[in-house]
Amino acid sequence: MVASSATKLPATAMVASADTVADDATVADASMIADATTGAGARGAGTAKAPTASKVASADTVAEEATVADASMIADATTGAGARGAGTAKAPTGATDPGAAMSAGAMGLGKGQVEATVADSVPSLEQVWSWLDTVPDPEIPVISLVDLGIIRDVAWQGDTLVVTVTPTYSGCPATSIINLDIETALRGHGIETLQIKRQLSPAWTTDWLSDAGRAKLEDYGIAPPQPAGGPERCPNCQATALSRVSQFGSTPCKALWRCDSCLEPFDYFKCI
Amino acid sequence: MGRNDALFQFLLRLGDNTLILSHRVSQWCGHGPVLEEDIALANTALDLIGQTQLWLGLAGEIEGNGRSADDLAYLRDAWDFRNLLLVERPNGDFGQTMMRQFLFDAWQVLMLERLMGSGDARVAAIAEKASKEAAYHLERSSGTVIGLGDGTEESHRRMQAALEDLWPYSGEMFVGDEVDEVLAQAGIAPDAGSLKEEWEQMVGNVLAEATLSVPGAAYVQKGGKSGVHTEHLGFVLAEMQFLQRAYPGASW
Repeated sequence: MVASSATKLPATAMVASADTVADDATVADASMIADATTGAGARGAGTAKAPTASKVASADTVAEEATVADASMIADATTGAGARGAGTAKAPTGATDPGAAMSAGAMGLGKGQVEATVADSVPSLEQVWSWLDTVPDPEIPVISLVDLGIIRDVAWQGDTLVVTVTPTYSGCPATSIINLDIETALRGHGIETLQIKRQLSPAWTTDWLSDAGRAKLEDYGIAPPQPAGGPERCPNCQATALSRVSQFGSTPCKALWRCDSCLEPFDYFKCI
Repeated sequence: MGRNDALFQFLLRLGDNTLILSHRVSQWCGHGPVLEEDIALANTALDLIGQTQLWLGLAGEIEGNGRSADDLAYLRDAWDFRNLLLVERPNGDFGQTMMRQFLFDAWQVLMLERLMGSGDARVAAIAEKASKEAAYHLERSSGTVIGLGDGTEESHRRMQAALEDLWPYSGEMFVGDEVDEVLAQAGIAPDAGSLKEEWEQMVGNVLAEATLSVPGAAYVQKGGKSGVHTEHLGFVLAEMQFLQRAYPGASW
């Protein structure tokens, strides 16, 4: 008995540490992207140098051991190489391959040079909106955050980009992921100073869903919200004889309905 | 009592109501009578915990001692909780849980409606957000109370028993104290008693449709708003706070 519990312990410990590493890796990845990007502010590409071979090689050595370590190493490699303006959140993609890391560095340098031409002007708000329009909702990936109507404002305050976001439901667990996705996307486009502001009032309403968003929802099999309080038609067969199964569905923003004609159950995006 | 102290207490009351009810409702997760109800209960709990974060977050801000919503939720003991006794009542059967939800939802909808016009813009903004969720909860709990009250003989009997059990705990919602008076005068929150008539009408209509009879005047069980709780709250906190008490600062 003693022996078996003794052999069991390390196994448990290993699982625990594997979990930890996995969790940390995600976090480190995200912050690392931010670091890499920050270091990559599109100013003065002239100072940028290609990463040294030794830095890249050491990044690779560590990479085989742990994702966490290789992420930070690559970040180091990018900044360590003096690559200001060496654009890029792309560096981490090279993490497991020294060649790729090298070319990422080289690519970054090239990109930095291109961006140097716009170094002194900030991206237009229109440009930022279009970037945000490519960030998918984490739970309903067919629609973007802009389609969802939760991005309430985008503005420059000095050299800080302020993005104002309103939550869909106060307890929606996607809220923190959404903020992280916004940050990751914008940093990936070279935004250095970013503030995400929460705005509660006016409260989000499904009236703010874009027409494009409504169409995409229906294509995806989710009936878009209707002022009448129930779906207009079955998203699968367009029949109008429908029954409500439950006021709540798989996420707080949806209810569960069923088509009486094709008998398929489907999600209805609640109207609030 | 200063206005800030009163506001802090009032925000604790709002946040503790939603926190404790959320925890109670979440205890159904995996135990609902049917899958759809299970999911609905979990979603209701999720809305309530979201509201809790907003109310207790603001409470910590008003208090000014650097306490976060999490600190307030996990690191206070029973006597510092300010929730209504109603929300700490045990879940009982599904009917009892839904009756408790209904009595609370009706009050919460009215309270949030009033708070949307609060002189404090932060309070008004949270109320505006939460009121949409509360309205949805009320729609559901009213429907369930009607369905079960006017259902089978057995479901009717259980709903009537639930109503009689919970009714004495509903009065506390309308008993004001100094906190309520200070805030009513400041135009931040309504006078507690001012919601009573409308609530009775709203609840009465649903109970009539549910073929349930409103219990006569009963002794009002109160104390939660000032930190005097029933023994049940201790058990709720023991379960809810265990992790943070045993492993301070643990996160995932």
